Amino acid sequence: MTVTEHQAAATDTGTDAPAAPPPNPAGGLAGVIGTTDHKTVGRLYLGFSAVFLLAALVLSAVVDAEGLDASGFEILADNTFFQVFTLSRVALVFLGLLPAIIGLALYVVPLQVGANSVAFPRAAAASFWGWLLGSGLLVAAYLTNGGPAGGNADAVRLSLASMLLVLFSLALALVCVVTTVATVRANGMTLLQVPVFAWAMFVAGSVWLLNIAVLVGNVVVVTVDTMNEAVLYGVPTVVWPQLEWFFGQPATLSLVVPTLGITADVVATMTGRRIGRYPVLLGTLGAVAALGFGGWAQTVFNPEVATEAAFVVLSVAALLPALGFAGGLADTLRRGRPRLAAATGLALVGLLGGLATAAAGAVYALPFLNLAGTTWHTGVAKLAVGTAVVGIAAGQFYWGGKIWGRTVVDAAGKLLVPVLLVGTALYGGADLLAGALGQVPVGADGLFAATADGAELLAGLSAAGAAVLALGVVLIVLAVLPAAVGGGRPADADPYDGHTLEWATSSPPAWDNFPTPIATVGSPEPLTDLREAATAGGQ
Amino acid sequence: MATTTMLKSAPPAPPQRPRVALFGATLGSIAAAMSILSMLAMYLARRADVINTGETWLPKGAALELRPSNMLFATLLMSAITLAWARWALRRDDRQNAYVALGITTLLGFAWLVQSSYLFSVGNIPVATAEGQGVLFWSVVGAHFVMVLVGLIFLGLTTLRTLGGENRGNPEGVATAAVVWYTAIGVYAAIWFAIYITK
Repeated sequence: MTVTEHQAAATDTGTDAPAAPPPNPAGGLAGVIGTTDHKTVGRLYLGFSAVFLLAALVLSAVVDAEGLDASGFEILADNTFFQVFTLSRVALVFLGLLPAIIGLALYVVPLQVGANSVAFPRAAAASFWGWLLGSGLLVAAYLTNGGPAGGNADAVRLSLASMLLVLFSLALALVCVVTTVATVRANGMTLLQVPVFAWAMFVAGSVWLLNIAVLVGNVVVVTVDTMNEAVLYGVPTVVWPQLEWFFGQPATLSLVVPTLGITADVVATMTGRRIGRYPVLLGTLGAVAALGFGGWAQTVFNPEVATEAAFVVLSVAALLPALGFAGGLADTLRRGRPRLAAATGLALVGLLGGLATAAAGAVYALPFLNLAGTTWHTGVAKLAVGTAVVGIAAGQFYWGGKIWGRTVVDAAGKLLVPVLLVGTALYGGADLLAGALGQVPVGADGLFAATADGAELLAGLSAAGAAVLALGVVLIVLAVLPAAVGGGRPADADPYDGHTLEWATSSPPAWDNFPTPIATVGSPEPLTDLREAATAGGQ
Repeated sequence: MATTTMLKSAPPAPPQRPRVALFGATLGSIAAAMSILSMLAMYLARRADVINTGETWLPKGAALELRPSNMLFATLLMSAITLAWARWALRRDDRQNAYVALGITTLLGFAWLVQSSYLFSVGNIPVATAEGQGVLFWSVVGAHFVMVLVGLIFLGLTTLRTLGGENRGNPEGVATAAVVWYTAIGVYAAIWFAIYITK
C-alpha cells in the first residue's frame, strides 16, 4: 500500500512553515554575511568550528603532555598552564563540538523533516555571527591574560562577557533547531516519525538548552561578583569550579546523543533496512539525552553529589537505554548487509564510543569503586568528546555530498575510522585507567600532582590521544575541503537509496530545499514507502 | 533513484498549524526561567549556609519591605488577568476590548518596572557584601528585571501589531507574548517567596 496521497498538483509544500527566505541577491562575501539560508549558516558553523576544534585538541594535548613530568611545568609557564587548561575545555565544547553539531543540524535537520527553511532563519544567522564574535573575543581575552584565573581584571571581565555571548548565541541556534523539529515537519510526519538524527537534535538540543541556561546563571553570578569586589564567586580559584560541571558527568552524556542519532540514520540507510520498533529506539535515545541534564550535579555547591543516591541511580540508569539503543541498531545490522562506506565504519565507532561513555559514566557512579574525585571523571568526558568528533566525521561523510554539492572522497573517511577509534580510546581510556589507579585531576590551583604509579605515562597517552584526534580533524578537513571549494564530481541527490527526506532533493538543495511538493509522510522512511509503492504499482 | 520525480506526483495534504513563534517563545522562556531559577537556587543554598552558622542572612541596614514587594506581585497578577482578557477578546475579534486590555497590560508592566526601581533604590543592599548576599540578590532580581523588560517590549510590539490589524481572530501573536509574560510572572512568584517573604 502507499502511504502517500496522490492529488492534483499543488503549488506549496503543504506545510504552514514560515516562508523560506528569498534567494539573497547579493553574491560573494556580502551574500554570505547577509544570508539567512540555513544551509549557508550551517556550512559557516561547520567551517569555523573545525578551526576551533583543532586548536582546542592541540591545547588539550599540550595540557596532558605537561603531566609527563609531574615535578614541574616543562612546556607551559606555571602561570599560564591553568589558563590553557580552561581554554582547552571551553574551546572543545563551546567553540568546537557544540557549534559543529549545531552546524550539521542547521543544515540537515530542516531537510530531514521536509521543511523549506529552518524555523527563525534570521535568528539562526544571528546566532552564528554572535557565536563567532563571542568566540573571537573569548580567545582575545585569554591572550590578554583573561580567563577564570587570569591576572588582568579587564580581560577576565571580557572573557566572562564573551562567554555569555557564546552561550546566548548557541542557545539561540538550539531554539531554532528544536523548533524546526517540533513545528515545521512535513505533513503527516509525527514527532515519532522524524529521522533519528533530527530526533537526537530535538532531545539533545532541549537538554543542552537547559544546561546552557544553568551555566548562564553560573556565569552571571561570577560576572557580577568579578565586576565588584570578587568577595565569593569571582575569586580566581573559585571561578573554574563553578563552570566545570558542564565538562563532567552527567552533562557530557548528552554530547554523544547526536552521534548516536547519526549512527542510526547511517546504519538504516547503509543496510537498506527499516529500523524495527522505531518509537522504542527514539525513546531510548530520549532517555539517554534526558539523563544528560547536569545542572543539578555541581560539585562546587555539593561536593558529595557524586556519592548521592540520585547521582548513582541516574548514572547507572543511563546505561540501560544506551544498551537498548545499541540493541535496536544491532538488530537492523543483522537484518541487512551494510555497505562498506566510510560513514558506516565511523557510525559503528560512534556507537561504540556512545556505549563506552554511558558505561564509563555508570561505573564512575558505583560507590564501592571510589572513583569520585579521580581522573575517571575526566576520562568519561574525554570519551564523550572523542565520540562527538566521530559523529561529526560520520555526518560529514554521510551527508558530505548533500552539504557541499560535491562528492567527498570516501577513502579518506575509511582511513579516519582507525584514527578516530585509536584517538578516542587513548584520549579517554588513559584517564579512565589513571582514575582507576587513584590519580586526581588537575585542580583549580593548576597543579598536576602524580598521585598514582604510572600516572605520568597515562597522561602522555592521553596527550597522544588528543593529538591523534587533532590529526583526525585535519583529515576530515582535508577530505571535505576539495568538495567545499567545488572540486570533485557533482554529488548525486540520493547516492545510497536513502530512507529519509533529505535524499529527496538535489545536492546541494535549492534555496527553498524542496522545489517540488512533498507528499504526506506516513512513516519514518517516506522514500522507502515511495519506492515500495512504485514497485508494487509496476507489478 | 529518481525520488524527486516521484515526489512531483505526490502533492501535499491540507496545511497544519505549526505555531512556530509560540513554540520558540516557549523554549526561550523556559531557558530564561531555568537560568534565573538556578541563580535563585544558589541564593537559597548560600542563605542556608550562612544561617546555619548562626549569622543573619540579609546585611545590616537592608530594607526589603514586604508591602512594596507584595504590590509588585499584585501588579503582575493583575497584568496576567488583563492579558488573558486581551486573548479572550481577540479570539472573538473584539478589537475594542483587545486594545484596552493590551494597553492596560503594558501599563501595568511599565508600572512594575518603576516600582521595582524604587524598591531597589531604597533596599540598601550593596553588591559587595561579605557573605555574597548582594551578588546573589542583584544577579537574581537583575536577571528577572531584564526578563520582564524583554517581555514588556515584546508585549508592546504585539500591541502595536494588533492595533495595525494583525492577530484579528487569531490570538497566536498575543499568545506568544503571553507565554513570555506568564513565565516572567511565574519566576517572580518564586523570587517573591524566596527573597521577599522568607528574607
